[in-house]
Amino acid sequence: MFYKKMLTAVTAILFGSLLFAQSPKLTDADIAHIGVTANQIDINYAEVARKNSTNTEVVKFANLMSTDHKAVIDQAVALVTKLGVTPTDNEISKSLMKSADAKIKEMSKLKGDAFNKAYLENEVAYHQAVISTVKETLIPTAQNRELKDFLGALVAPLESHLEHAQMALAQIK
Amino acid sequence: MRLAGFYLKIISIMQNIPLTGHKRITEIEQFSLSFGKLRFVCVLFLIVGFQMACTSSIEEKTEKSEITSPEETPGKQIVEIKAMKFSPATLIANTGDTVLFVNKDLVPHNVTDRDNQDTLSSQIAPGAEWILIVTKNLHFYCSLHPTMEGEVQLANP
Repeated sequence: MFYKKMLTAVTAILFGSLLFAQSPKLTDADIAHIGVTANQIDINYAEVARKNSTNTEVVKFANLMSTDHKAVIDQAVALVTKLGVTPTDNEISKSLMKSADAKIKEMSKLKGDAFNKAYLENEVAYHQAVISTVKETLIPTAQNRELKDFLGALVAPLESHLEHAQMALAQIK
Repeated sequence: MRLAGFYLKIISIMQNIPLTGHKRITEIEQFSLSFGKLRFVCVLFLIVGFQMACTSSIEEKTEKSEITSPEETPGKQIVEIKAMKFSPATLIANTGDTVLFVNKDLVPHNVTDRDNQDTLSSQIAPGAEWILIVTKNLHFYCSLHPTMEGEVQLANP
Protein backbone atom coordinates (compact mmCIF):
# COMPACT_ATOMS: atom_id res chain seq x y z
CA MET A 1 0.00 0.00 0.00
CA PHE A 2 2.83 2.37 0.91
CA TYR A 3 4.65 1.54 -2.33
CA LYS A 4 1.49 2.17 -4.35
CA LYS A 5 0.92 5.51 -2.70
CA MET A 6 4.53 6.47 -3.29
CA LEU A 7 4.30 5.48 -6.97
CA THR A 8 1.14 7.53 -7.41
CA ALA A 9 2.66 10.49 -5.63
CA VAL A 10 5.88 10.37 -7.63
CA THR A 11 4.05 10.09 -10.94
CA ALA A 12 1.70 12.90 -10.05
CA ILE A 13 4.53 15.12 -8.82
CA LEU A 14 6.57 14.45 -11.95
CA PHE A 15 3.66 15.15 -14.28
CA GLY A 16 2.41 18.10 -12.30
CA SER A 17 5.74 19.76 -11.66
CA LEU A 18 6.75 19.55 -15.29
CA LEU A 19 3.55 21.24 -16.30
CA PHE A 20 3.43 23.69 -13.41
CA ALA A 21 6.89 24.95 -14.22
CA GLN A 22 5.83 25.55 -17.80
CA SER A 23 2.11 26.34 -17.50
CA PRO A 24 2.33 30.14 -17.76
CA LYS A 25 3.94 29.60 -21.17
CA LEU A 26 1.72 26.79 -22.46
CA THR A 27 0.07 27.56 -25.77
CA ASP A 28 -2.78 25.62 -27.37
CA ALA A 29 -0.21 24.08 -29.70
CA ASP A 30 1.79 22.89 -26.66
CA ILE A 31 -1.35 21.59 -24.97
CA ALA A 32 -2.39 19.71 -28.09
CA HIS A 33 1.02 18.04 -28.31
CA ILE A 34 1.06 17.18 -24.60
CA GLY A 35 -2.42 15.68 -24.92
CA VAL A 36 -1.43 13.52 -27.87
CA THR A 37 1.80 12.48 -26.13
CA ALA A 38 -0.01 11.47 -22.95
CA ASN A 39 -2.36 9.27 -24.96
CA GLN A 40 0.51 7.78 -26.97
CA ILE A 41 2.37 6.91 -23.77
CA ASP A 42 -0.54 4.77 -22.57
CA ILE A 43 -0.69 3.08 -25.95
CA ASN A 44 3.04 2.28 -25.56
CA TYR A 45 2.42 0.87 -22.06
CA ALA A 46 -0.37 -1.26 -23.52
CA GLU A 47 1.97 -2.65 -26.20
CA VAL A 48 4.37 -3.86 -23.51
CA ALA A 49 1.51 -5.52 -21.63
CA ARG A 50 0.22 -7.26 -24.74
CA LYS A 51 3.70 -8.67 -25.37
CA ASN A 52 4.66 -9.56 -21.81
CA SER A 53 1.46 -10.61 -20.06
CA THR A 54 -0.42 -13.89 -20.32
CA ASN A 55 -3.17 -12.81 -17.93
CA THR A 56 -6.47 -12.56 -19.85
CA GLU A 57 -7.78 -9.58 -17.89
CA VAL A 58 -4.51 -7.67 -18.16
CA VAL A 59 -4.32 -8.22 -21.92
CA LYS A 60 -8.01 -7.26 -22.26
CA PHE A 61 -7.37 -4.07 -20.32
CA ALA A 62 -4.28 -3.29 -22.41
CA ASN A 63 -6.29 -3.81 -25.63
CA LEU A 64 -8.91 -1.39 -24.33
CA MET A 65 -6.25 1.22 -23.51
CA SER A 66 -4.83 0.86 -26.98
CA THR A 67 -8.26 1.16 -28.68
CA ASP A 68 -9.52 4.05 -26.58
CA HIS A 69 -6.37 6.16 -26.64
CA LYS A 70 -5.98 5.68 -30.40
CA ALA A 71 -9.56 6.91 -30.83
CA VAL A 72 -8.78 9.95 -28.68
CA ILE A 73 -5.64 10.72 -30.69
CA ASP A 74 -7.60 10.44 -33.96
CA GLN A 75 -10.17 12.92 -32.74
CA ALA A 76 -7.55 15.22 -31.26
CA VAL A 77 -5.78 15.33 -34.61
CA ALA A 78 -9.05 15.99 -36.41
CA LEU A 79 -9.82 18.83 -34.00
CA VAL A 80 -6.47 20.58 -34.25
CA THR A 81 -6.57 20.22 -38.03
CA LYS A 82 -9.97 21.88 -38.05
CA LEU A 83 -8.72 24.63 -35.73
CA GLY A 84 -5.55 25.15 -37.74
CA VAL A 85 -3.41 24.41 -34.66
CA THR A 86 -0.17 22.54 -35.26
CA PRO A 87 0.83 20.52 -32.16
CA THR A 88 4.27 21.69 -31.18
CA ASP A 89 6.82 19.38 -29.62
CA ASN A 90 8.03 20.88 -26.38
CA GLU A 91 10.17 20.10 -23.36
CA ILE A 92 7.23 18.77 -21.40
CA SER A 93 6.24 16.26 -24.06
CA LYS A 94 9.88 15.19 -24.34
CA SER A 95 10.23 14.75 -20.58
CA LEU A 96 7.01 12.75 -20.38
CA MET A 97 8.11 10.46 -23.18
CA LYS A 98 11.55 10.04 -21.63
CA SER A 99 10.04 9.05 -18.26
CA ALA A 100 7.66 6.65 -19.97
CA ASP A 101 10.48 4.99 -21.89
CA ALA A 102 12.36 4.45 -18.63
CA LYS A 103 9.25 2.95 -17.05
CA ILE A 104 8.78 0.61 -20.01
CA LYS A 105 12.39 -0.59 -19.71
CA GLU A 106 11.86 -1.25 -16.01
CA MET A 107 8.58 -3.17 -16.51
CA SER A 108 9.99 -5.20 -19.41
CA LYS A 109 12.44 -6.85 -17.02
CA LEU A 110 9.56 -8.34 -15.04
CA LYS A 111 7.62 -11.53 -15.73
CA GLY A 112 4.33 -13.16 -14.78
CA ASP A 113 2.45 -11.78 -11.78
CA ALA A 114 5.21 -9.31 -10.98
CA PHE A 115 4.81 -7.74 -14.41
CA ASN A 116 0.98 -7.73 -14.23
CA LYS A 117 1.06 -6.00 -10.86
CA ALA A 118 3.64 -3.45 -11.99
CA TYR A 119 1.73 -2.67 -15.19
CA LEU A 120 -1.63 -2.18 -13.47
CA GLU A 121 -0.15 -0.19 -10.60
CA ASN A 122 1.52 2.06 -13.14
CA GLU A 123 -1.78 2.41 -15.03
CA VAL A 124 -3.53 3.51 -11.84
CA ALA A 125 -0.82 6.05 -10.99
CA TYR A 126 -0.54 7.28 -14.57
CA HIS A 127 -4.27 7.83 -15.04
CA GLN A 128 -4.52 9.60 -11.69
CA ALA A 129 -1.70 11.92 -12.73
CA VAL A 130 -3.16 12.58 -16.18
CA ILE A 131 -6.65 13.27 -14.81
CA SER A 132 -5.24 15.71 -12.31
CA THR A 133 -3.17 17.46 -14.95
CA VAL A 134 -6.01 17.71 -17.47
CA LYS A 135 -8.39 19.13 -14.89
CA GLU A 136 -6.02 21.45 -13.09
CA THR A 137 -3.65 22.62 -15.79
CA LEU A 138 -4.58 21.84 -19.38
CA ILE A 139 -8.27 22.79 -19.29
CA PRO A 140 -7.77 26.08 -17.43
CA THR A 141 -4.80 27.00 -19.62
CA ALA A 142 -6.31 26.17 -23.02
CA GLN A 143 -7.43 29.26 -24.90
CA ASN A 144 -9.61 27.78 -27.64
CA ARG A 145 -13.15 26.90 -26.54
CA GLU A 146 -13.35 23.70 -28.61
CA LEU A 147 -10.00 22.52 -27.27
CA LYS A 148 -11.22 23.16 -23.72
CA ASP A 149 -14.41 21.20 -24.42
CA PHE A 150 -12.40 18.34 -25.94
CA LEU A 151 -10.16 18.14 -22.87
CA GLY A 152 -13.25 18.28 -20.67
CA ALA A 153 -14.79 15.37 -22.57
CA LEU A 154 -11.58 13.41 -22.03
CA VAL A 155 -11.97 13.32 -18.24
CA ALA A 156 -14.83 10.77 -18.15
CA PRO A 157 -12.99 8.12 -20.23
CA LEU A 158 -9.82 8.65 -18.16
CA GLU A 159 -11.77 8.20 -14.93
CA SER A 160 -13.39 5.09 -16.37
CA HIS A 161 -9.93 3.71 -17.23
CA LEU A 162 -8.72 4.48 -13.72
CA GLU A 163 -11.67 2.64 -12.21
CA HIS A 164 -11.13 -0.28 -14.56
CA ALA A 165 -7.40 -0.46 -13.72
CA GLN A 166 -8.17 -0.41 -9.99
CA MET A 167 -10.69 -3.24 -10.42
CA ALA A 168 -8.24 -5.30 -12.51
CA LEU A 169 -5.49 -4.72 -9.93
CA ALA A 170 -7.79 -5.86 -7.11
CA GLN A 171 -8.57 -9.05 -9.05
CA ILE A 172 -4.93 -10.13 -9.52
CA LYS A 173 -3.94 -9.54 -5.89
CA MET B 1 -78.99 41.64 -48.51
CA ARG B 2 -82.55 40.66 -47.67
CA LEU B 3 -81.51 37.01 -47.69
CA ALA B 4 -78.58 37.75 -45.39
CA GLY B 5 -80.87 39.58 -43.06
CA PHE B 6 -83.25 36.65 -43.15
CA TYR B 7 -80.44 34.27 -42.17
CA LEU B 8 -79.47 36.46 -39.24
CA LYS B 9 -83.03 36.68 -38.05
CA ILE B 10 -83.55 32.90 -38.14
CA ILE B 11 -80.28 32.26 -36.27
CA SER B 12 -81.06 34.85 -33.62
CA ILE B 13 -84.52 33.41 -33.09
CA MET B 14 -83.21 29.84 -32.86
CA GLN B 15 -80.45 30.80 -30.44
CA ASN B 16 -82.71 32.65 -28.10
CA ILE B 17 -85.23 29.97 -27.15
CA PRO B 18 -85.75 26.17 -26.99
CA LEU B 19 -87.57 24.78 -30.00
CA THR B 20 -90.60 23.96 -27.92
CA GLY B 21 -91.21 27.67 -27.09
CA HIS B 22 -94.69 28.45 -28.53
CA LYS B 23 -94.31 32.20 -28.86
CA ARG B 24 -91.07 32.06 -30.84
CA ILE B 25 -92.29 29.25 -33.07
CA THR B 26 -95.21 31.49 -33.93
CA GLU B 27 -92.75 34.27 -34.78
CA ILE B 28 -90.84 31.87 -37.03
CA GLU B 29 -94.04 30.91 -38.80
CA GLN B 30 -95.07 34.51 -39.30
CA PHE B 31 -91.67 35.49 -40.58
CA SER B 32 -91.54 32.58 -42.98
CA LEU B 33 -94.84 33.54 -44.55
CA SER B 34 -93.43 36.85 -45.69
CA PHE B 35 -90.61 35.13 -47.62
CA GLY B 36 -92.37 32.09 -48.91
CA LYS B 37 -92.73 28.77 -47.19
CA LEU B 38 -90.59 26.89 -49.69
CA ARG B 39 -87.64 29.25 -49.39
CA PHE B 40 -87.96 29.07 -45.62
CA VAL B 41 -87.79 25.27 -45.60
CA CYS B 42 -84.74 25.25 -47.85
CA VAL B 43 -82.91 27.72 -45.69
CA LEU B 44 -83.90 25.82 -42.55
CA PHE B 45 -82.50 22.61 -44.02
CA LEU B 46 -79.29 24.45 -44.91
CA ILE B 47 -78.85 25.77 -41.36
CA VAL B 48 -79.64 22.42 -39.75
CA GLY B 49 -77.39 20.62 -42.20
CA PHE B 50 -74.57 23.07 -41.53
CA GLN B 51 -74.87 22.58 -37.78
CA MET B 52 -74.92 18.80 -38.17
CA ALA B 53 -71.85 18.95 -40.40
CA CYS B 54 -69.98 21.08 -37.87
CA THR B 55 -70.93 18.77 -35.02
CA SER B 56 -69.91 15.62 -36.89
CA SER B 57 -66.52 17.06 -37.85
CA ILE B 58 -65.87 17.93 -34.21
CA GLU B 59 -66.93 14.43 -33.18
CA GLU B 60 -64.79 12.95 -35.95
CA LYS B 61 -61.75 14.93 -34.82
CA THR B 62 -62.35 13.86 -31.23
CA GLU B 63 -62.77 10.28 -32.31
CA LYS B 64 -59.61 10.40 -34.38
CA SER B 65 -57.59 11.83 -31.52
CA GLU B 66 -58.90 9.12 -29.22
CA ILE B 67 -57.89 6.42 -31.69
CA THR B 68 -54.42 7.80 -32.39
CA SER B 69 -52.68 7.20 -29.04
CA PRO B 70 -48.92 6.86 -28.49
CA GLU B 71 -49.35 3.23 -27.41
CA GLU B 72 -50.71 2.20 -30.80
CA THR B 73 -47.86 3.49 -33.01
CA PRO B 74 -44.33 2.10 -32.94
CA GLY B 75 -42.17 4.53 -31.02
CA LYS B 76 -38.61 5.69 -31.36
CA GLN B 77 -36.43 6.58 -28.45
CA ILE B 78 -32.92 7.90 -28.29
CA VAL B 79 -30.12 6.87 -25.94
CA GLU B 80 -27.15 9.20 -25.80
CA ILE B 81 -23.81 7.63 -24.93
CA LYS B 82 -21.87 10.39 -23.26
CA ALA B 83 -19.43 10.76 -20.37
CA MET B 84 -19.19 6.95 -20.23
CA LYS B 85 -22.91 6.54 -19.50
CA PHE B 86 -26.05 5.47 -21.34
CA SER B 87 -28.58 8.27 -21.01
CA PRO B 88 -31.29 7.45 -20.20
CA ALA B 89 -30.10 4.27 -18.56
CA THR B 90 -33.63 2.83 -18.31
CA LEU B 91 -36.24 2.89 -21.04
CA ILE B 92 -39.76 1.62 -21.24
CA ALA B 93 -40.72 0.52 -24.72
CA ASN B 94 -43.05 -1.70 -26.71
CA THR B 95 -42.09 -4.68 -28.87
CA GLY B 96 -41.19 -3.32 -32.27
CA ASP B 97 -40.08 0.08 -30.97
CA THR B 98 -36.69 1.31 -32.04
CA VAL B 99 -33.97 2.68 -29.79
CA LEU B 100 -31.33 4.83 -31.44
CA PHE B 101 -27.97 4.74 -29.65
CA VAL B 102 -25.86 7.79 -30.44
CA ASN B 103 -22.19 7.76 -29.39
CA LYS B 104 -21.21 11.25 -28.29
CA ASP B 105 -18.12 10.07 -26.42
CA LEU B 106 -14.48 10.26 -27.50
CA VAL B 107 -14.08 6.47 -27.34
CA PRO B 108 -15.91 3.57 -29.00
CA HIS B 109 -18.65 1.66 -27.18
CA ASN B 110 -20.98 -1.24 -27.83
CA VAL B 111 -24.31 -2.64 -26.67
CA THR B 112 -24.02 -6.14 -25.23
CA ASP B 113 -26.78 -8.33 -23.79
CA ARG B 114 -25.72 -8.90 -20.20
CA ASP B 115 -27.78 -12.08 -19.86
CA ASN B 116 -26.24 -14.02 -22.76
CA GLN B 117 -23.15 -11.85 -23.44
CA ASP B 118 -24.13 -11.37 -27.09
CA THR B 119 -22.65 -8.16 -28.45
CA LEU B 120 -25.65 -6.82 -30.31
CA SER B 121 -24.14 -3.74 -31.89
CA SER B 122 -20.52 -4.44 -32.76
CA GLN B 123 -18.35 -1.38 -32.13
CA ILE B 124 -20.09 2.01 -32.22
CA ALA B 125 -17.38 4.52 -33.14
CA PRO B 126 -17.35 8.07 -31.72
CA GLY B 127 -19.99 10.03 -33.60
CA ALA B 128 -21.68 6.89 -34.96
CA GLU B 129 -25.19 5.55 -34.29
CA TRP B 130 -26.82 2.13 -33.95
CA ILE B 131 -30.47 1.08 -33.87
CA LEU B 132 -31.92 -1.56 -31.57
CA ILE B 133 -35.33 -3.04 -32.40
CA VAL B 134 -37.00 -3.98 -29.13
CA THR B 135 -38.08 -7.62 -28.90
CA LYS B 136 -37.73 -8.40 -25.18
CA ASN B 137 -36.71 -7.07 -21.79
CA LEU B 138 -33.03 -6.32 -22.12
CA HIS B 139 -30.27 -5.72 -19.61
CA PHE B 140 -27.39 -4.29 -21.62
CA TYR B 141 -23.92 -2.92 -20.99
CA CYS B 142 -20.83 -1.84 -22.86
CA SER B 143 -18.50 -4.86 -22.85
CA LEU B 144 -15.55 -2.51 -23.51
CA HIS B 145 -16.38 -0.42 -20.44
CA PRO B 146 -18.32 -2.79 -18.17
CA THR B 147 -19.42 -0.17 -15.64
CA MET B 148 -21.73 1.31 -18.30
CA GLU B 149 -25.13 -0.36 -17.97
CA GLY B 150 -28.68 0.12 -19.10
CA GLU B 151 -32.05 -1.57 -19.37
CA VAL B 152 -35.01 -1.76 -21.74
CA GLN B 153 -38.27 -2.76 -20.03
CA LEU B 154 -41.25 -3.84 -22.05
CA ALA B 155 -44.33 -1.72 -21.35
CA ASN B 156 -46.61 -4.73 -21.95
CA PRO B 157 -44.59 -7.89 -21.31
